[in-house]
Amino acid sequence: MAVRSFLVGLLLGAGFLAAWARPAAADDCAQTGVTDAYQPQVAEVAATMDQAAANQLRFDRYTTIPDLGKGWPNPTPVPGTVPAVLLKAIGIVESSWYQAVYLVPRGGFGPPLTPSGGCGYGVMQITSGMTRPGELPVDVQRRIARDYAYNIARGATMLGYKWQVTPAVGSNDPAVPEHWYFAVWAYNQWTYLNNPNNPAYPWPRPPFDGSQPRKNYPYQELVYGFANNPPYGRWPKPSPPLVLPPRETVGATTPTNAPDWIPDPRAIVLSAYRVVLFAEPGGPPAQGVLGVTDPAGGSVGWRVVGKAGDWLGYSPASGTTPGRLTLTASPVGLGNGVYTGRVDLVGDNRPEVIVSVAVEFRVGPFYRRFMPLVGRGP
Amino acid sequence: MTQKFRLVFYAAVLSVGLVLAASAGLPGAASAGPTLVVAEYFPDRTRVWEVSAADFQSRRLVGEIRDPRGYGLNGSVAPDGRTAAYLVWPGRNRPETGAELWVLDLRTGGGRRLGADLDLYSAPRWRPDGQAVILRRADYTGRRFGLVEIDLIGREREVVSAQGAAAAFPVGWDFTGRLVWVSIGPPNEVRLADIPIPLPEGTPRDFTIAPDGRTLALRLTAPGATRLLTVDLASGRLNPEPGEALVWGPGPSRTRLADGRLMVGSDGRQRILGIVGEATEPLGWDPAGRHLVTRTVKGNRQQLGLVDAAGAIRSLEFEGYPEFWGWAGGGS
Repeated sequence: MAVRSFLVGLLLGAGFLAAWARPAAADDCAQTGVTDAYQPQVAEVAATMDQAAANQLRFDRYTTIPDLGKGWPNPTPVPGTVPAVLLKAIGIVESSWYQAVYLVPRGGFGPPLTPSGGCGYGVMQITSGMTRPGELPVDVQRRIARDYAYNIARGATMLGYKWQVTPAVGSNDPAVPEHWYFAVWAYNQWTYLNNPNNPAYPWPRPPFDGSQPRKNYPYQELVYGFANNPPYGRWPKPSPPLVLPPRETVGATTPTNAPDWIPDPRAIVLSAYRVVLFAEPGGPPAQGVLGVTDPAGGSVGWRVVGKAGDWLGYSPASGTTPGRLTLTASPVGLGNGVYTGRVDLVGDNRPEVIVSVAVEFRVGPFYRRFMPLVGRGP
Repeated sequence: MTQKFRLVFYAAVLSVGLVLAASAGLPGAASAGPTLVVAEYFPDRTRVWEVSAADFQSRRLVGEIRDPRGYGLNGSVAPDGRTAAYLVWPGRNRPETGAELWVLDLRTGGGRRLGADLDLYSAPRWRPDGQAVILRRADYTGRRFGLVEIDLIGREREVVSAQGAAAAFPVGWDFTGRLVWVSIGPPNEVRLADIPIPLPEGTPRDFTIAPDGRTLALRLTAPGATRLLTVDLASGRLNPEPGEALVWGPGPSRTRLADGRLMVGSDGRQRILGIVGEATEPLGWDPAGRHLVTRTVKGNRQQLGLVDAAGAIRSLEFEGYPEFWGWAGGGS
């Protein structure tokens, strides 16, 4: 057995040395020729993550987070930033914060970390633009392979681009980590693999905290799990913890059939976020009823905190989940036309998160034939 | 450089030695009666145990498998209970394209690699004769999935090529020997070889074929509810089933989870086997129908349990994260 072990070890060792001498297996990809990637210290990575998340690095256009849309359904551009806690957690899932191969000690230099047979590079395992020479400018490819700060800034930029092409969550605010759910999904791959309802993953499954097999979780659950449970205390735990959308709201997204928008998972959930009511001028008021629930299935107090539209009323003003909210639109004093209003609610568990239902009130003789229509999203 | 060479060489020798030691198996207590095969996950390795159903303290370590990327193993025990097949991702490519298939002799702990470049996320399904497993090659981006049969000497044959699907899952073989698989669309379909059986709205999951190969059970997850469904594999007819989870057995019976109760019965006659709560679900009976394995999610942990035919429930304790792979030989 000892001889067998020795001989196999000899072969393995020789193989490793050959790989070491030949820069990296991944140089079949971008052909960077890099052999001297710096292995950053943990504190260096943490500080760089913070800078990259705030879009403060901006080495060039490849490492500058684009302006991001904020708000829903009519987003307006805001300067691009990504939540640092998510960027850090992605770095943990991808590489455990290593830029060079794992055998290179922190503070040392060596070949860039790449998966055997793959083209992901460095801390953020950048693959896009790294699968063949010239896919990005040679200098950019080399910096992604060699320079951990450039690599992290490129990762933050890629995440920003994912924000732009994936469904919105809640009020679609880039400052809210929960609103990056689909962007984080897409950072890995925007396919059914990462659907939380994929039968490949067991259900029920405990929330990921680093102690469970990763195979049981879609990528974004690994990221949010590490974000809530920072390895070795590398960043403060978010308080309150980040939450994931109920898997029912993601549904069968493949994702060619992905929804445009899903509700904010932090808040109470309404059965509809857009309501259309109809009435005749001077006729009886129109009513619509909404369900109010807690995504965690619990009993949470809620209350109405504001509204827009003098013609719009609601009842009750507060309640407990699961409950109902009745909206009443009165046409008294209104002429023919379309009126828009809004009711804002909060749950006692997260009173800082306002949940709004948009109400469209159509007044006119034509509409008497119609029952109120209720839409799913805003 | 010389010092670095030495370090690297010693590390290589040490790792290989550990792998060989693990693959050769480690001594442990012998067990009598049916034994469960349990994979105990740690972030850098998985231990495979045989645990006596009669006495949980009687455990034998079959082997310890290195898993440097911490993704865990997807494994299952052969019908004869002597071999387990498992997928492990050594870090090549991505988990869904770079996993390796190994077989593990449960008596000796000896391991053998049968295939590579497979999808870690699809557990091996054994052919009823125990001579081959079916697995998946996945290209999620290209929406191409190959279901491949690999026999015990590593010969490989693609039996299904699914194009344009969001995912495809091998399930097993029906009573006529047709391959049963599930295509995730839309539309979602059960496939009997090439014959599609459309499924209602919702995501199908947890597919199991009855031991006689005539019925497929699955769960259908839709907004607001998860329901059970069976598919008659002779007629293709879908039938709703009461309860939230189902396993086949003991014997010709079915065991359902309904409102936190395990119900056993057949032909419309039901009895309560035990009250386990809604966070617990049944996984499988031993071949003799004396013990039912369950899993329970509690906080951030998963716990395995055993319910005997009289309804008594016991918990199996593990330091790591336990997953049930099947029943070892001696169970019948």
